[in-house]
Amino acid sequence: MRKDKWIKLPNENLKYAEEEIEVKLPQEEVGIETPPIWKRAVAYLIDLIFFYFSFYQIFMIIYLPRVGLLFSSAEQMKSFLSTNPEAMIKVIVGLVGILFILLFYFVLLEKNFKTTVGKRIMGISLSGEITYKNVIIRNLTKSVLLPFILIDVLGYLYIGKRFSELKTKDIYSTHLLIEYGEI
Amino acid sequence: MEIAKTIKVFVTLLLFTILTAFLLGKMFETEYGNVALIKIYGEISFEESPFEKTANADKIIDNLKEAKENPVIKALLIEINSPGGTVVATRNIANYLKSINKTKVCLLKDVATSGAYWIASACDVIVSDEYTITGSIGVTASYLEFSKFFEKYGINYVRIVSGEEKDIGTPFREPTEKEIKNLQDIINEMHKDFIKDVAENRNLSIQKVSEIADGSIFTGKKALELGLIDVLGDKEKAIQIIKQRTNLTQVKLVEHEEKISFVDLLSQFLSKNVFSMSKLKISV
Repeated sequence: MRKDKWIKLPNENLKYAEEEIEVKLPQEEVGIETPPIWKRAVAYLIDLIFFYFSFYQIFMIIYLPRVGLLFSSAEQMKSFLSTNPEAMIKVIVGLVGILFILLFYFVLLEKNFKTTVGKRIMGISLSGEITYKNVIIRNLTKSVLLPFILIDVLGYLYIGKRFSELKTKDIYSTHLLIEYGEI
Repeated sequence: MEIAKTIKVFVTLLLFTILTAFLLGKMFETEYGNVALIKIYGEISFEESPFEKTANADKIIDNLKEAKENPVIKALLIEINSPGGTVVATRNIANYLKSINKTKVCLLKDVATSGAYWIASACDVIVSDEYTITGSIGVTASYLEFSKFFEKYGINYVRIVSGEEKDIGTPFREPTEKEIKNLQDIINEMHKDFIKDVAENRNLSIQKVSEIADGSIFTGKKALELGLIDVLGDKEKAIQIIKQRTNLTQVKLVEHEEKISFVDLLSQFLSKNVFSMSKLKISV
């Protein structure tokens, strides 16, 4: 609850009391609006940060030692890769694996909760028909097709939303508008 | 319900992450070794022959470079089974070895004579079997000379040269005394450098090395007495020494070797090197 919308009322039971109590005001959803692109971008960044410090680390802890790429510093890894270029394929495979897990993260959270960690923090959720197919399509360029994300985002210039959202027009990001009632 | 659902979703995600990491890791599983095993087998030179095992100096130096620059590699195990080779090829390898600032242990196999020993001396520790043949600290430029054979069969060598010593070392005529002296001077100069290097590498006096540098070969046992090797033993012993000097608890050897394709083999066979005979070659 947004605490700046709490008001303080005097305690009617105590005539001479100066004590105040806090009362939650009733709320009502009055509509939805498309959140601005910067909010969606920040939400995505928050998701990436959360993902990096959680699932990415777990993946690397298991994957890197198995493929012999566990080094104590980036410099060491760089030096190793320069003398063993064939090891780059393992780095690439690892990154692709990570991107698939990222896709799974978005798909699972959006399908089950209509939101992700980043979206939740920014007050964004999804509305509409949320099917697995839709959430996968709308999250491809945010994960496995990451190199194409800039092209996807260019859609904002022409159609007001990402190009990938053309295919999933039934679901859209929303930002709840809340009005507070009166006592 | 909401909490249970959240836990369920995140646990699913976690399991998917672990499974993916595990499966991909399994597919590309590699154990990179921490000790580079570099083999120097056969005659050492810059040439290659499809008929016999040769140690190509450029490729050996490439392998050494890889081991030098690889941060995972903590030490080198140089395995030598070679009668020696050409002077330049041998010196190039020995000098490059000296520039590597990692523990270098050399294991001598059946034979490690002449240039092969020159390379071995550049290592920190030399391990050899009792009956390894080593030593032969010396230089040779011997070659076959067919002038009498040609004379017998009426083959004439037509000599057209711009300078008297232009065809020095040709197998088609007898060498002059001056030519033999010139070659001998070159050999002596190389020999001096060979002795100097071995003395420096093995921490022996030049005089002591000179006394045994008449080309004599020694068994491993004798070489130990002379200070030419450090310890008698086998590969296990060499690995033990590496562990002691590097504090590694586990040694994983990774062999740096070159894989020859059929096309490479065919091109070696067709190259003119195969047909060179009786070429003047200065070897150690």
